Amino acid sequence: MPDRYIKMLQAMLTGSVTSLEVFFLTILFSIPLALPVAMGRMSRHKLLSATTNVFLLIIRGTPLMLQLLVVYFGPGLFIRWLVLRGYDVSFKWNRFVAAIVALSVNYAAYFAEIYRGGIESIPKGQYEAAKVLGYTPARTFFSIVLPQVIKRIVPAMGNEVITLVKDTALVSVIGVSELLMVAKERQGAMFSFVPLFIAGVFYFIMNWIVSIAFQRLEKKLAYYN
Amino acid sequence: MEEIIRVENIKKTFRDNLEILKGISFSVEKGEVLSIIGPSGSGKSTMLRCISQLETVTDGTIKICGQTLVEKGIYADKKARHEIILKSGLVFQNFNLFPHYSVLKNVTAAQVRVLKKSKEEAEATAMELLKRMGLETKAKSYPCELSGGQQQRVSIARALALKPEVLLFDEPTSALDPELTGEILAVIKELASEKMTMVVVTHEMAFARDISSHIIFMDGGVIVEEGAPEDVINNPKQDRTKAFLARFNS
Repeated sequence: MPDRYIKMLQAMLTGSVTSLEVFFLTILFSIPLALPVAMGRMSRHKLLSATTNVFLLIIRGTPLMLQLLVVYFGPGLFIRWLVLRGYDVSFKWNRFVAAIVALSVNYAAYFAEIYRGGIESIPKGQYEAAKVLGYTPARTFFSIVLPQVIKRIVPAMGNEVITLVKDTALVSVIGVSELLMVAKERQGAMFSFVPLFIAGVFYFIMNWIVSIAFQRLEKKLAYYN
Repeated sequence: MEEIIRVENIKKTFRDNLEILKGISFSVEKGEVLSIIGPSGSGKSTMLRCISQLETVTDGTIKICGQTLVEKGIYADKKARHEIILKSGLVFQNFNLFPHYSVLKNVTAAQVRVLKKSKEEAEATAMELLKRMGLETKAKSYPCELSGGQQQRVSIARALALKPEVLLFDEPTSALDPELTGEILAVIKELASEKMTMVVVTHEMAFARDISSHIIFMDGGVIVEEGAPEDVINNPKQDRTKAFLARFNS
């Protein structure tokens, strides 16, 4: 194999590892973060639920790419504004961390709406049955409601996770060298279509694995209706 | 006689100023079976749900086994309410079993989580109850695999597992076809013969007459007529009761 191909594959391997890191870290943070967001949205406390709703509207109503730019460049611009007013502050933002923060917050918003739909679909009778058996509200939620919610939201979550695999490519907008960014560079340098093709195959296989994983999970939870 | 339930002048108004209970009083003693009959919307179920704390009363007094749940509209503290909730078991019209738990776990879960019993002890109690309900072979099944009648028997076992002083039934057969209804009525009859204290909201008039020690006819949020089963069902005195039972007695 010619040298330049080996170099290309090495660069693309590093790029795919970055993409995978972005993917897994976003999943790791957004899935739990979405739960308090969903709770906030459903809260009887008017101010809390209204604030959460505004947050959800902004996150879901603006492009993820814009959010990445705001999270990465926003703090720096704010610090500059402070420094110009004589404050002695400094701040160094890591692009990778900024990418994880922006993606996790964005995905938490979408997941939160899925959780809310799931939680609201559990019949009132389940809460009532638990209450007359002496369950506390917290215990009712964690042992009666949540397990049933998980089963109901798996298909919708699968959709979002597949979208996330493809959205990892957006972090290149703030200069994180993920797979697609590397592929584009190589394509320019080598004047070849091959890097883009390889990147496409990577995303495709990744999502194939994701959908198999979700299918298995759905089957595993199919022991009751 | 030991008094299990005492209800005095309870009133319940919903937010839209709809007064669903307009001052209801009765008591149930140990070993008694009280049936509550009446048209839909008369407040029967609401009354039962007030006793089991699924609804709060606006005014009045409820005492369970001598413990005060609510006195003249003022509720007891959380700890007392929790103690009182365990003294009664409620069987719902649409069962409300936990679909993600097996039949066995439906009957053991609260024993383990709420009463802090060991898993072995809870399972022994559960198997004994399932056997009484004729469901010992279904222990490993899930609720969705059972008929409505079987599901309702599981829910009766689930309520009995916490050894309540009184069992409350909220139209236990209204979601079942006549054949399955017979199944459940037989179970309740057997519990009555074992001197289980029960309050049954039902539309099964013949059944109510046969198992009850006392019957209440409710309409429009008040008790219209009450008394011995034969008297209320077969020889009602009030015109409203006569009209309600006309089809049954003709």
